[in-house]
Amino acid sequence: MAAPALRELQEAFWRSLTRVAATGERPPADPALLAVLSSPPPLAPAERVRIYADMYYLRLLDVLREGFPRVCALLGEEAFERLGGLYLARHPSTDPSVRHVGGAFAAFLGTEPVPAYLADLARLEWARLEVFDAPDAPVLTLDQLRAVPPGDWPGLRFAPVAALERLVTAWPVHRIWQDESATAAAPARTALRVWRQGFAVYQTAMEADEERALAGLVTGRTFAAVCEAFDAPADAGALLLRWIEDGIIARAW
Amino acid sequence: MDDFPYLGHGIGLRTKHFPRVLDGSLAVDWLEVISENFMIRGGRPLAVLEKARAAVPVVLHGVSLSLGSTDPLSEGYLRALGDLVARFAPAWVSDHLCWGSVAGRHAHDLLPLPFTEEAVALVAGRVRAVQERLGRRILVENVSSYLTYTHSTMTEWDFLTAVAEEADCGILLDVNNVYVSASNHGFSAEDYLDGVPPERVGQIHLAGHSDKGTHLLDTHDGPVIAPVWRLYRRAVERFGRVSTLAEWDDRIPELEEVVAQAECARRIESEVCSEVQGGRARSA
Repeated sequence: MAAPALRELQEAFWRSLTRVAATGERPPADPALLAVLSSPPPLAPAERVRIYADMYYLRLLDVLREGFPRVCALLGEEAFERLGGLYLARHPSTDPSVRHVGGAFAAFLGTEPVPAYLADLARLEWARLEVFDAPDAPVLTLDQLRAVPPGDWPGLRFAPVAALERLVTAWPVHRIWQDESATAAAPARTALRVWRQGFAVYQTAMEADEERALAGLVTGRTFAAVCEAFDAPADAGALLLRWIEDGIIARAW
Repeated sequence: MDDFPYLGHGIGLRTKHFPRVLDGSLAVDWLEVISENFMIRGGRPLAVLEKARAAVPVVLHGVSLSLGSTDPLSEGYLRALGDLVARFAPAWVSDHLCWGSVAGRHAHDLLPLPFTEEAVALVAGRVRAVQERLGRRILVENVSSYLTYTHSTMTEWDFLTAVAEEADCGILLDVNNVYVSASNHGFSAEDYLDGVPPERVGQIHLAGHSDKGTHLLDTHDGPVIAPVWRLYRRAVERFGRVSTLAEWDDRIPELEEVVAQAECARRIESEVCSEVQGGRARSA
């Protein structure tokens, strides 16, 4: 039998590593690969391929486990491994950095017969990962704000820092994230912001007025327009101070 | 090789020991980091690397360049690697003599190549392209393997040497990987060392592995075992003083235990080099 070209060999190797997309089952090693493997004892060629296939899954499951620790804990190890295997079969890594391998995991969970809050919880965990290594950027300081003449405040515009994610979930997943026994909670529309301050990642639920105000700020509306989200102007001022303390907004002037 | 100066004995920097970088209590000759872990936009890892780099020489060690892949080199990856090189000015850059991606999908593993002229030409061409892109020579590392191909036409060490010669790159010789593959495939680890050209070896790796009964697995989850230390001694006898690094990637212990591996390597190197000097003095 003629030796396969390197391309054919690598494609056969890949087919032997990955599971069947429809079922998550492990396929037998590809015959085109087995045909060109030496088989000194004690391992048969298929057993040698199995070493690689096992390592492939264990490594990537570990990455998912680290990225989605709460989802993993709530699913339980057995279900997590089964779903993780199916996910990886359907969404193989397409980036040289393994950091991105879980990017479609939340959407995948949304299509699987698992508790409905898990997809939202995965979105929160992914948002935390996105924020963890988001770009560093200068944040707005109180001194910078104090330097602005009061008459100029209504026209001020702010920008969100890169290390800020907003998401709306159908479940109060911030509570489930903190306390796994909170899975008994009823579904409830929840607006969350996730941000990094220093090296630490934080998250909080937003009331409706904060959600509206932050949405306005992100889209470049003036401070005066942002204040319209509130009944009392003092509430807008208090919120602005809180955003500054949290380090989630930057100067846009 | 001038491109790969002697740095002494270092360790691979892992997340568990980031606090020791930040509090300034990490004392080693030099550090190696996994390039891909720093191909990010900001946050703690990059701040840690800034601080580490300010203290000691740092080397970028990649796992996803996929030098043996039949896919095109990833433009995005090369750009990210170039950005890291520009920002952190590593002492050098290295990656593995293997493949890890095909048809745009990444295994994130170090998969074995057949030792053929086709593979030599492919890998050497890609190493040259990377070197031109980075404007510097790189080191290419031998990997542990668990299978071999019937259509290989040369030994692994001849393959490694052929790639290094044809690409004009350096060799990162992983002594543990030599031991693991020698055991798994039944060749002589000593023959391997004897077949590697000393002038190409710019760095040595040391790590622990696991004995699975039917094969050795390159797990990096324990200390270097005695036979690998003996092989390292032989490597120092052949290659002389080469920058040496202890890797520990799983079940990572306290920093001091990892550093102790580097210090053990330092003692062996010191013993070998003083023996050589003593021998020279006696024969003078």
